[in-house]
Amino acid sequence: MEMFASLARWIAEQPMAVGGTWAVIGSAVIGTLGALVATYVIGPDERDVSLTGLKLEVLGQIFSGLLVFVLVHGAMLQYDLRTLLDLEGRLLTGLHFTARRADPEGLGVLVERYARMVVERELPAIAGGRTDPATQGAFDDMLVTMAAAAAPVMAAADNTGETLAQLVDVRAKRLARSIPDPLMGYAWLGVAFATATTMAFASLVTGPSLFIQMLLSTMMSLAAVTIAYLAILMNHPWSGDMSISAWTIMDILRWG
Amino acid sequence: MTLTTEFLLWMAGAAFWAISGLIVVRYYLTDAELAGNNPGGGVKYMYFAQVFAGFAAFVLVQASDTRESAATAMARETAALRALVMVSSAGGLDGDGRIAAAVKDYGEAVAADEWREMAAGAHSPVAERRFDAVLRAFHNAPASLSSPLAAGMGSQLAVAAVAARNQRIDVAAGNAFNRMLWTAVGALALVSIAFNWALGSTSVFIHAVTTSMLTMTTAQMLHLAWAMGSPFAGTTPLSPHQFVALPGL
Repeated sequence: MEMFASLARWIAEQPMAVGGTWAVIGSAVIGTLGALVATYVIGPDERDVSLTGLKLEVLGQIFSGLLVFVLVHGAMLQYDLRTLLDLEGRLLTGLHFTARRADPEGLGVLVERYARMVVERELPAIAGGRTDPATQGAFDDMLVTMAAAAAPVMAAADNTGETLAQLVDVRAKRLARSIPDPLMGYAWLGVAFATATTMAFASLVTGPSLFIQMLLSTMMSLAAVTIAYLAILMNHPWSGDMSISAWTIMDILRWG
Repeated sequence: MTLTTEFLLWMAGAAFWAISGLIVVRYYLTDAELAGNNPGGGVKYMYFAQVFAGFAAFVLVQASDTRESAATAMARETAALRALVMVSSAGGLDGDGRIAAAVKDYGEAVAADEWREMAAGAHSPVAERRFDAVLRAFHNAPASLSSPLAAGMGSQLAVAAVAARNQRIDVAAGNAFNRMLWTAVGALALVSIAFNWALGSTSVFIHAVTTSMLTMTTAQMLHLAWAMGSPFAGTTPLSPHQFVALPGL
């Protein structure tokens, strides 16, 4: 299953223009080959157009259930991560203001260091399916130093403790949502199998015009492949052209 | 058993269900009798498939949400406890190391004992006692010696850990609705394949192959939902490694 998860990640990392081109070319090749094999290798009686056509409709409905799931999963992932990143950015910005007032060279620099590491190290590592221990170390340093800080401004800002605790919680949620679940590899296997089955069924449902059947099979394949491609992009929110931007955290670096 | 082995067994089971039904039905009914069912049976089958697909999509989303809730609760709980140890130590709340030791003991109890209990939908009394010990160690810490910021933050982290632990146990426990859901989706899947048995074909071979492929597609969806909906059991449970890695003395 890991192979399918890696393959999906690799697809998500490619530019959309390349992915879209391959979706069209691949669909055309599969549609053409399927129609040719069904016409010249399998006889007309063997194909049983009416019964296979009925099964193709049923398959399409069941496959749509799977596609709905991967799309909804991807959409929820994007929404959750955008919300968490926005919240983390806001908490970190508030903390940054307090830290800079209290101790710009010490605490302020620690907050900026953590923000820089999230943008430059952690997000690229997460896109590859890994965590970054160095960024976690930077976060721990910031937390421990602030907890021990006795600067009057830090003490005066009585919501700093609450902000830090919320930051721990939001960061944990962001990391948990960001690292892909290995079981999604299984979902991609299911999508690939259902797409292949759809094409096999579609190839069996042929008519008198080979050209029209090739065209129709290609369009069917393109519909399934395009939706699956979109679902792959949405389920990899840190990779490719549809990736989420960490601008709320980058703002801290700009102001710092 | 690995996920791949389990997947192959599910696929074999799906093919067996598809083929065995075809063999039995075709033994008793002739091709002509079966072919007569195609127009009426086909329309009903399509209606049934639409209802089933909608329900299966819901079950998949529900199962995925269960797994993600469990994973997120676990991440929040361990992050809060880890931060509690660091903040207590840095802020002067844990001079004697009692909080760190209690957290370490709790993490070990969760990994060694509670994970097994959660697979059965329960929770561990041992882990529960050790969690209480963590909270007691924090409440009994010498507040006068500590930084006010660390004390306030520690309270927030302890509350977050309590909430996350409760959520994790709640997800593991499940409810009667889950059992009803799995029964319904399992029965609907079996019936949706059984529709194929009542249809007539001109080629038995193609009919058997296409029915098997349809069954395997359905079985994959169900197996994926089952694997996702059982976050602490089966071949792909969530790992308690974050609890094992909790900092100690």
